[in-house]
Amino acid sequence: MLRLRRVGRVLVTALLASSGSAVEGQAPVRPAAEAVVVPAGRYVPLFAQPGAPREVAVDAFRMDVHPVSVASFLAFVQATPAWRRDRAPAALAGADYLGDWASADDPGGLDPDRRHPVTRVSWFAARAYCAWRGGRLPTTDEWEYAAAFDESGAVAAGDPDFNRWLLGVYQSRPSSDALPPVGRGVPNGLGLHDLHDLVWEWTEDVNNQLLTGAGRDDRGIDRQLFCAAGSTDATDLTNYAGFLRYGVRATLGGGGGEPGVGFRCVY
Amino acid sequence: MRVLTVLVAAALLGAAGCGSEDPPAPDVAVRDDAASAHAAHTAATESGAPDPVEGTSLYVLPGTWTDQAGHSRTLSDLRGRPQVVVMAYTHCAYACPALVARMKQIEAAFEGRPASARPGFVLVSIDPERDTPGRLTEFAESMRLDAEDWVLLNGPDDQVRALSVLLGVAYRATGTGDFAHSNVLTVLDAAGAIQHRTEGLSGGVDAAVDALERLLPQP
Repeated sequence: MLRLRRVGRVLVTALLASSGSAVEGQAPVRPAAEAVVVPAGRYVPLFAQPGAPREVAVDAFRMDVHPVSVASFLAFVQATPAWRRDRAPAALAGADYLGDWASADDPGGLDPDRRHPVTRVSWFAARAYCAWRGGRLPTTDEWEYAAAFDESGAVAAGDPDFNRWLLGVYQSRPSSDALPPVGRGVPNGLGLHDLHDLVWEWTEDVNNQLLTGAGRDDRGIDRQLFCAAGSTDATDLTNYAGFLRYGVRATLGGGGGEPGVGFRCVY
Repeated sequence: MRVLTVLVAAALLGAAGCGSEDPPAPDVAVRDDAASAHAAHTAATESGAPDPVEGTSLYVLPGTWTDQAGHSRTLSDLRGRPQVVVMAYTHCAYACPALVARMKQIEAAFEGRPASARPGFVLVSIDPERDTPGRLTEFAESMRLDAEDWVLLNGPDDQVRALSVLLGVAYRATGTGDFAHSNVLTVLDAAGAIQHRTEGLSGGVDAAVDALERLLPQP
């Protein structure tokens, strides 16, 4: 892990030293998209297969600095009426889709800037939004890797202190009914805000975890349901924060709009 | 290196053994799950006209697939008859043949009926890179799948992922050439809405057959 942290730090240092302006210079596809480069690197995901390498290589990509705000999602819905909550197909956007909005084209609420993160957005709608922006949802590996950088810019996944800090963050999250604006607080070393302390976030392969049941049936692992699932090993049994994230993802159905679940795009 | 090979082989055997070698599953996960189709809410067609029935159909998913004969298909082409759908990959040593065997058990229950009173069968590959149309043809021939009733589909990763999310099929590449995936058999009605799901490989196919009987015209 020490080696990993060093690699991450070196990469970030190199990035900051050489291309600070290049990062800013990468023009977003649409106005108001703020994204930063997440450098290529390696990390150890929470779950691995015996026989497969534990470390996963992640290519460089650009990631939104914030989760998508209500204002940004409103712009999408206005430009793409097929994704209004009264038009979107029920299979792709369930009854809860944008269910907290005052109407199909009015988020309501008291915040005129609508800088709080959009939630109750189905996975399909999140994907459509990112495509509209010229991007896509991050893979789970990309998201976990980007979110593993601590404030100093080190890859801290697996670091007990970092995980303890994360658990505290998860426990003190704001109520999903009254979310504060995006971009509060201190970004991680890559300049990414709100990865842990605001909302859970959709990933492209959100259903890649074979922890069964959660949300669909009872909890627990039913080996009968899966080919190869019985051979899935957690790489770090003490990474409770990681289990929590993977567990939340495993409960999400994709078609629904969940309170407390938002997203950001990568490019 | 040799040790590693043995370890990998052992891991693969472990993977392939999911089911037959395992202790019997305590609960047989068979249940109707029309709720997955989110029956509420209004829906829209391309033109924007709301159509509540159409909205719950999985056939709203866009995209072009290639079938085992190399023909271009959309999911919407499956419309018109109830379909039994699974997602799997043909290099899987155990679970996929077992899934296909279950589909053939269902097929046998409707044997001798006219095409209008039989379901269709759809296998969508979660391994589009290796499950080329040619490979799917070979698989269909080796499993003796009747081309009149069976469609094997190859499509781009993002389409496969979208369908898997709708069908509640979790999967991922293990990094060893295999895929971990949930074994789910879904019955769609003629419009493409989910009417029944069977999870796991341990239960029978009676519930799926019953669901199809309700959807098919009686001969």
